[in-house]
Amino acid sequence: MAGASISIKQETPDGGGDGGLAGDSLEKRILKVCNQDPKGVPDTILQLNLPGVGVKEKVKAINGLLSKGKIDLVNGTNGQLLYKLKDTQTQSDLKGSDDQERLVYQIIKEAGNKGIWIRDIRRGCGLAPPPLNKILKRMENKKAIKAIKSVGDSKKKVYMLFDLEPDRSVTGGAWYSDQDFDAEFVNVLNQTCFKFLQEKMEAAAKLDIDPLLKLNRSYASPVEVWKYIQELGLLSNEVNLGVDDIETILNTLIYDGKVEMTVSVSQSSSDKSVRTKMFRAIQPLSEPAGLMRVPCGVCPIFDNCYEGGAVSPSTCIYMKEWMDY
Amino acid sequence: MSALAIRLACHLTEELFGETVEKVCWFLLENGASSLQTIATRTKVPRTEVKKALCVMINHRIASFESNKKNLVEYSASVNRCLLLARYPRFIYCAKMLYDDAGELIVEEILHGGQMTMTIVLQNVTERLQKAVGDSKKIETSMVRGKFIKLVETRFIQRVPDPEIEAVQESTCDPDVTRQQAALYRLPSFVHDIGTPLGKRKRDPKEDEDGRRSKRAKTDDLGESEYYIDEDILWQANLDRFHQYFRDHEIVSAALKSNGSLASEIVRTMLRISEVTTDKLEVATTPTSYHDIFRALPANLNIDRNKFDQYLKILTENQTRIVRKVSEAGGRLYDIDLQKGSLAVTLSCIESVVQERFGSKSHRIFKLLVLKKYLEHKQIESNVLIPAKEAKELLYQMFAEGFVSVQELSKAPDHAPSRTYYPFFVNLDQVSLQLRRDVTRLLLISLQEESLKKRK
Repeated sequence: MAGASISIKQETPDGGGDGGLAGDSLEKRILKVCNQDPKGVPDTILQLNLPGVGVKEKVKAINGLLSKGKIDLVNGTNGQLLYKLKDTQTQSDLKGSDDQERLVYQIIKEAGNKGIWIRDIRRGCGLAPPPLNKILKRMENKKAIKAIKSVGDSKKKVYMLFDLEPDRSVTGGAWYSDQDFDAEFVNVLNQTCFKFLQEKMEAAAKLDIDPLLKLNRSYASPVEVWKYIQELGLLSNEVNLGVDDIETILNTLIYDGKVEMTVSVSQSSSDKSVRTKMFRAIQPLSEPAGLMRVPCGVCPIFDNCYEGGAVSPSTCIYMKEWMDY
Repeated sequence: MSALAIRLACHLTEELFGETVEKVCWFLLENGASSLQTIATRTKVPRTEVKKALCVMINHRIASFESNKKNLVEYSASVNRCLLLARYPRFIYCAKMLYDDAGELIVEEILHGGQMTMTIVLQNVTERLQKAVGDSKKIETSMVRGKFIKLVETRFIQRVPDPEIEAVQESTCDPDVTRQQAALYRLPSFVHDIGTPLGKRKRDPKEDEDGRRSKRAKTDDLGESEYYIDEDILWQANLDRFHQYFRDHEIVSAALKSNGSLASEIVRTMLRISEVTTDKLEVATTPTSYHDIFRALPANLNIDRNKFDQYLKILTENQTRIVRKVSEAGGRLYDIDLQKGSLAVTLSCIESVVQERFGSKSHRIFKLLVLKKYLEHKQIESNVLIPAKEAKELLYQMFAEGFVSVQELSKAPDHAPSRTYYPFFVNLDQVSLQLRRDVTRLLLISLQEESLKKRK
């Protein structure tokens, strides 16, 4: 909204060019007042800010602004009418469109980069589905808005303004390419991160230094891992991977049981202590269980295997092979 | 107890003690406590045979007896004790690792004999060792005796509690557990006297060795005038101590994996110092002071105080938190959290099963649930970075096999599905029980296969 209001300020001088001199300055003053609150100003405040202006003149000026499409009349929360600025983008996008279209556009715009579902638009504007669809299609063709498939639900389409970058919750962040989860990409990153941490640990283990120092050397912060990934040139330019994303990957390594995490507190120059997560490669605490060394350990029908049954230990070829020592 | 465990128990008794004992054991496990007459009639085994079988079982502590309200003696068997028969090779191997061949044979003799006197054990072991090495070398009894004493001192072997003394203790409710414990590991005075031959000796009515004398007259293979000096002191293997050793071993190897060999040596030393003073059911070892641990470290480690300090710091700050600093008193006291240690090792074992059985992606989901406790499946999907569809499949597969459970959490009292959360979690107790059942089944299957193969 702040960006929009700035552009308004620049627009106003030539916007009011065709009105009379007195009307022009009054219109400017009204716009200035409206500019103070992007949510809209009620009539009382407008009156306060325009001392010595007659009702007739004011009405004329407001009507002029309304017809030029510079301000909007909207219903406020407590039932009173609010004068609200319209931004120029809306104006350029909606050239030659009707009120309904403007309304829908407004609703979509309010949803921001999270987008809005078609049913929510319908609830907001009260239009029947067929005309609404038509409007949406028309606006899409004009490139005023765009439809994006949400990652959470592949059938759900959300609408947002054309030049907005969709939110992470909609696209799923770096892990999604075209609404599909890029498992391959995640796997490669997961392995690369682990390799980095492991190499770091091995390098530290070789050093002939104090054990505590050795341990600290084997820890790496997400930023270090992130730099390593960037330097590897693993990523294509389109993928914008942040440190947060690397932290998510490192977290999956924790769940894999390959990495452990501690929080280290360091005193920065200003008196605030900074907490950074540090990661370190570890080994599993025990050898694989003995149960898994026997074919039955991974046998999917182990529970149904009985002597005399359709599957029985004595007829099992895996068992026979295993017993042949 | 499950039918599976009973079947395994019976199989093990049959392998070790033969068919008759197996029949009696099966009957007792299936029917609970029964009198001698009932056992004989129901199993159709002659009474004398039943008596012998019961003798064997009582000797091996598989069975026990009690007189019921009607003053009738009833016998019962313990399935858990039977299942330990499967671990005998492991116990023997453990003794071999700790005390060489002599230790191995001593434990083997005692395990197979159930309850034996020291003299007989030493004789048999010396003979067997002599046979093994041939005539080239003379096996000294004193060496074997030394190993036996070591085994008693480290509590792998204990005295069979004297039933008479036990009865007295029970009636007086002696609260001094430590003294009772110590009595179990008291060596008779003659063993330290190397000169004393441990063979038969002439019965001398005036002699009163160790304050205890045989009350029964031995007549069978010993003559009227000959007897063993310790014939009324019976020894048995202390299986709890073996289990304790296995647990300690696992904790040490966990420390090795997480912090390297020097750290694991420190943990080993801490466990060794406190192994005799810590009760088997204790959740943590007795706290040991910094200096005591340092002094008890093996000399060949070449570790100075500075390094030792650092290792202790690493160990106490480690994620597993097995080693704890208890207090600053007495130059800092440290102990080992046995409960946490066992839990960490168990968890790691269960995780390895999940990893092998379901693959590493499922393992990731499983571990996430272990770490975060309760999660709904949307949360799981976003945390493990696995495509939603696949994650769901893996999760439900583990759910179907009982590795993951669901907790129903209703917002409203009507438990309507739309107003209810269904978070997933890992019920570790259930999973471990299930794995235990699997292992029992597996053991039964492989043992049966083995005996089938032998018969062929």
